[in-house]
Amino acid sequence: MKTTLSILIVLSAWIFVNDIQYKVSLGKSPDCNGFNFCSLTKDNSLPKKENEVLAFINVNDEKHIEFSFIKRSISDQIFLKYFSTGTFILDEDFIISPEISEALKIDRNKLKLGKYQISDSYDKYVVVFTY
Amino acid sequence: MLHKWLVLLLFFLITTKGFNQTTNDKNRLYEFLVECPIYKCNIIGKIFDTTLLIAPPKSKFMLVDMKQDQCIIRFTVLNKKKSLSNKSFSLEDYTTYTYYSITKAQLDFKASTVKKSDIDLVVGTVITPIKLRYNPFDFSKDISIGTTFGVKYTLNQEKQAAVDCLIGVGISSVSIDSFATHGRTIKNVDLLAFTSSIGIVLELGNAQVGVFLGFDFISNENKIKYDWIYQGKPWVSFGIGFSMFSFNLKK
Repeated sequence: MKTTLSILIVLSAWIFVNDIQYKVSLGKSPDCNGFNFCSLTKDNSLPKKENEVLAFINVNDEKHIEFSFIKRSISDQIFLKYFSTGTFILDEDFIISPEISEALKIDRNKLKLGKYQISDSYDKYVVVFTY
Repeated sequence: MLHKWLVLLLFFLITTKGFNQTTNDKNRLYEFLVECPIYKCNIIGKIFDTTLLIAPPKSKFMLVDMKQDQCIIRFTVLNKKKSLSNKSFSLEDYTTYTYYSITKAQLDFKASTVKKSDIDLVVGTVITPIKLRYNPFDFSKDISIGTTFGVKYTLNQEKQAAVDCLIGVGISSVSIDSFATHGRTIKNVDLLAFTSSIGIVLELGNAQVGVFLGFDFISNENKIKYDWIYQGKPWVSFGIGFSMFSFNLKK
């Protein structure tokens, strides 16, 4: 019993450590209005500002990067503005910071502007961006 | 003569009634056409948060319930791989849903149902008032009324532009005279004919323009009696304003 419990704890810890959450400020800098990313940081803490959401990021291949926005971290206002149409809009290219690029192990650091399909995946909204 | 027109009218009424019944569709996926004020509520419609929220245009929602003047909705982001009509749609955690309240007037005037495909099935009635006949050339006011069915391809949803490819069957009233019967009859005679046709209709908003190619067949008895020269020969007709009802293929 104790062994099973220990394995579960270790496994959970391993998953937790490897599943890095990112904090995405939606909007466009400097005032975080419009349709883009205002900032993207590696941060597990709960969102403090209205326009902040948590996301997991996975690099699918050399051209596509997947953002899984956690539903529980999305406020009503943000859902209505950015997700309710089923299309996520990047109104211009977003430059990923070197720190995040390094964490994701990607060479190119530009998310291309465009309209991206949002998929509903149980507790997440998934958007696959081209970079 | 009167009897023939009564038969035509009856046929028209029967087919139209049938279409009205089939258009009573219960598609509950909508999208807002313009921004709309909404309030958070529970599933029975009790508003518990009076914060005014605004749903943006093109946001998609399900109509969950309707109570007199109130509509209870929840927003829906469709999974591309699993459409709502798919029977293998996985179970969702309904406890996480957020419901919103809008008025029935807002649903009627600010939202429309969402189409999931550019291709629709169409059925309807087509009246072709004038027919151009060939070999020898002639034109007549032989009215055809019939049922048509086919597919409609939406070219531009915002401009409501579409093209319909139709196949039709119906009945016509054909006037035959001495010229069209090699002198078998001296006075004009009106006969009923079976009509089959194919056509293309262009739709732009409420305007519809169509061209039809068809064939008229009078009964074998009349054919022998009158030797009608246009029996089974093609005619062309142009028309405007048809009654078409469409059904989205992926509903």
